[in-house]
Amino acid sequence: MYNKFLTLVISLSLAVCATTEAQWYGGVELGANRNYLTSNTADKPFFDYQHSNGFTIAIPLRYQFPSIPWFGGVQISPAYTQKNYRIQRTGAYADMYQQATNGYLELPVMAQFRFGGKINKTQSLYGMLNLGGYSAYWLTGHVEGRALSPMDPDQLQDYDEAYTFSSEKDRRFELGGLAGVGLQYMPNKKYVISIEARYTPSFTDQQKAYSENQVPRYNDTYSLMLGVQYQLSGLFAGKKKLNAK
Amino acid sequence: MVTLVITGRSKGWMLLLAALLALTSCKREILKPELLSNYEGNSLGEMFQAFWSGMNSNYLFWDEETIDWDSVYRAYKPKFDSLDQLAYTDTVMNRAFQYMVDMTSDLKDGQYALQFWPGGDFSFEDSLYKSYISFIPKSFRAARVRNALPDTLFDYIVQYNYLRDFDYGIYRNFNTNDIFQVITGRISKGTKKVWYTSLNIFAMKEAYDATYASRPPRPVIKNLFDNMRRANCDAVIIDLRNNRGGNLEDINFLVGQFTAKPVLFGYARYKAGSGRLDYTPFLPMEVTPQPNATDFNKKIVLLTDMYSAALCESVILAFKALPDAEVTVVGERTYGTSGLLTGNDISSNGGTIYAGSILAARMSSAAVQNKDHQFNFAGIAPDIEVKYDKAAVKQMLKTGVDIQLEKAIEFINK
Repeated sequence: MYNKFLTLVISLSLAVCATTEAQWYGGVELGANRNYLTSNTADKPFFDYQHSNGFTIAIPLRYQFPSIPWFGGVQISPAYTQKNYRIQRTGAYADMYQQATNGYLELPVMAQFRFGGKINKTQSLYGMLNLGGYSAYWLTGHVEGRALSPMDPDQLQDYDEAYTFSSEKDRRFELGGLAGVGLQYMPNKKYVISIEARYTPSFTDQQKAYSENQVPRYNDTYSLMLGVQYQLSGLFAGKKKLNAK
Repeated sequence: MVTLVITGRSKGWMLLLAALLALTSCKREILKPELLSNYEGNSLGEMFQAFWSGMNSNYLFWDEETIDWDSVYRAYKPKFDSLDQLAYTDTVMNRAFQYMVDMTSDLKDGQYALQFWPGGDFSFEDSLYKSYISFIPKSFRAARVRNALPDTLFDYIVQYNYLRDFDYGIYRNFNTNDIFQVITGRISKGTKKVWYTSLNIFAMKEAYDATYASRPPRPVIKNLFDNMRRANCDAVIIDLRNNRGGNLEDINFLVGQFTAKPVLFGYARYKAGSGRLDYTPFLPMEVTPQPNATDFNKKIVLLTDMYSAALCESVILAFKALPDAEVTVVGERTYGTSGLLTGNDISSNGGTIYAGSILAARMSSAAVQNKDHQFNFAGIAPDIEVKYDKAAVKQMLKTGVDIQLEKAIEFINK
């Protein structure tokens, strides 16, 4: 299903690219996120997966088509992003928990749709909608928590260490969708400042299918991103002129 | 291959709509697992499901097992379903129990015990067990080599043939009816001044703190610790034969008498979720020095046999980790438990499960490794092996010579 979706997005993007003159934008995006590990823990009493906050830093590269004002172009945003979650014991066991801090290298690919337009001769303000998908690689893991002391079950013991990946259990490649809404402000033709609320649901289980009756776990990440992009087209324009000669 | 030509704003909306549809059509299905206590066990098929799922989520050693638990599911589910087609009889119930025995007979957890309330007869490794309701594969295998020697056998032989200044204490826990017995004395053989103690189970601190006991162990234990700390004590023999474990606090209470600084001796982990391979990191297990303890830099000999099990093995690991003492294990390879029964199934996220009202599977709730990060499935090997086989037991009964204790004394005096 995900492959179909990705094929559609890429086909549309390529079709658009092939028909128009384009401009490149590059920049940086910073964001805070909140990740939910969506699963079902009905078989574990006093046990919850809870959301946890993290951050994202990305380097977006956007291919824009000036002749199609409603289409912001196609963007990839290689990113380092956290998808954290917490195992929280509840009730009488509320002092026990495990905080998982997971770092992913992520490659979102999105098509950008824009609404609105020029404020005055130089400035523009657009509402934007990003739709696409992403692939990600689970790069790092860290667990910090509190469990029963192995020397005294009436006491708790803390732990804080790097997560040891299991080649049998952990699916480190993740694929997912992307949907974002936001505002894009252009003080002039060179700069783009954006703010975006983004939702990235994973379509792949965080675990490999290693067990019968396995309950999947999906990362659902909500991010608020601030970005600045700069028009890079000058670089390519020079090349174009050279080619023309 | 889809080819689209974009010509205008209306096409843009179509693109947007198509992309939104594609995004929302990616459906995720999340299985809803059942709480184990929700299984009522109204059918054998349901009991199997509870048993398999409980083992799947609560057993602590799946990453160490060679059994393919999924294959077990596929192989045995139809068998239990077919049993449900038969009329309820003892034979059918026994067959269900036999299937569960077959499913789990090779598990490595030495704490594993399958208990089935209706009872019945079943065979295990070509032997028929009459009216058993408990299946403890590790224990059965040990019994095939040799039955446990009764505590009293060693007690009498050691008391009359090897000890002077003999003393003992006895304490009963009225909740569990477990009886703790400590024997102390000075070894009468050899030239070295050697203090001896035997502990039948680990309830040492509990007995020490008890306000009532028929023969209070407190003064006996206190004298032992005082004597060990005297300058003229050359060595200590701690007899842990047939000691099947007990209270966790005894690791610190006993081993903590021999060190003035914390000593790392192992690691333990718990389950961290219901997934088969969800584990916490390994948490360090350290001996905490007890008041007035000093670093003991003399010989400590631990007598062990194939029934030295569970917490007793953790105590042995702790002794072996003491940096200053010269610790030597004499006797037989220990039972090989690798786990502790600690906390409960909720607090530890694993361990013992109940399936309906007719089945329980006891298993470790904490998996224990030694300080080299190795599990102890095969037992702790002795440094000096002295085995009791049938002939040696017969000889001991005839002569009153305890060959394992003799070897310990010889080792200390050489």
